[in-house]
Amino acid sequence: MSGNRLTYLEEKFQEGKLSAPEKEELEFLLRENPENELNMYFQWVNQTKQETDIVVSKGDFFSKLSTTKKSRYSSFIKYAAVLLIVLMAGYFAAPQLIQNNKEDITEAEIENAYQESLKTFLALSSYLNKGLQDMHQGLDFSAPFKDLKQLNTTTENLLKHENNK
Amino acid sequence: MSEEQFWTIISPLNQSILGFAIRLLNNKESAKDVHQDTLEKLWQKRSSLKKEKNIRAFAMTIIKNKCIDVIRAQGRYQDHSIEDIELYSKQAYEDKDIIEHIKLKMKQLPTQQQMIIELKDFQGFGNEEIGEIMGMTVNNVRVNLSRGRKTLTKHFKHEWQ
Repeated sequence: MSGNRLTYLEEKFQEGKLSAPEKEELEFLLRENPENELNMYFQWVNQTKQETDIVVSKGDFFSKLSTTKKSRYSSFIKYAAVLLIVLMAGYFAAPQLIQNNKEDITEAEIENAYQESLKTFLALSSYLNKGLQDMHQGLDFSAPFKDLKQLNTTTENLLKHENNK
Repeated sequence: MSEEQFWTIISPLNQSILGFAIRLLNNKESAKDVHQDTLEKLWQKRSSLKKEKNIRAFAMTIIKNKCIDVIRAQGRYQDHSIEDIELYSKQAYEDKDIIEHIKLKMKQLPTQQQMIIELKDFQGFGNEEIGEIMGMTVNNVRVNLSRGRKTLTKHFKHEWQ
């Protein structure tokens, strides 16, 4: 009878369906049947528990807690100091940089840059026109290409007009 | 809540939550760090601790999550069982410690199954509590528990008899 009961409880144990009182009953029946292999499972649990049971003292925890707090506080102070230095450096350096920039760029330089840009566009446009003319001599261009050529001529005229101002 | 009051609540759980971490991480130093972190988190939440219905399950949830973080960081998180490697010959089984064999098998289980066996057989939690701690249904807990136990004991019948 106990053999049947043991088998029944073993099966329920394997299925993960054993209730707490049934587990106690199973352990009791296993003690009565030391040759049953399932004893090894419970031995493993008990042995591993014993090997890994470590007592932690209150003092240990709270001393580490205060150390952690202190280290967090000192880290915070370090970061705050670094941030403050960066902000102060920025505060003093930024106005000087802005001032330098203002002084560096003159009206003449801006005008010069504008003229240089126009020249670049003109050169680009003439290259495009030359290319298009070369191609036009050899082939009958489709409408979009002719439009492009017209656009380039118009652009060139506009730039010439701007340059002569 | 004073240090004394906090410790009165926490000290009965201490051994089991530290044991949980040691067995899951297989490293005492990492486990102690995780345990200290868990207690610190509980200390931060000390004002609401008395309102918790099940402080033990709450503490276990915290340490379980921290253990998963460490296991993931070490790249040891297992979704599936490690391929069953036959470590010993049939004859050697008789000589080797069977308990050592179960220990090795335990390490080969998926992390979730290891945790569920730990919570059930080492900590004595019920399936519903385990479901809450692990964030899964009671049926999933039962299925994982069953699979884990069967893997750990599957050689009992045909290898040693």
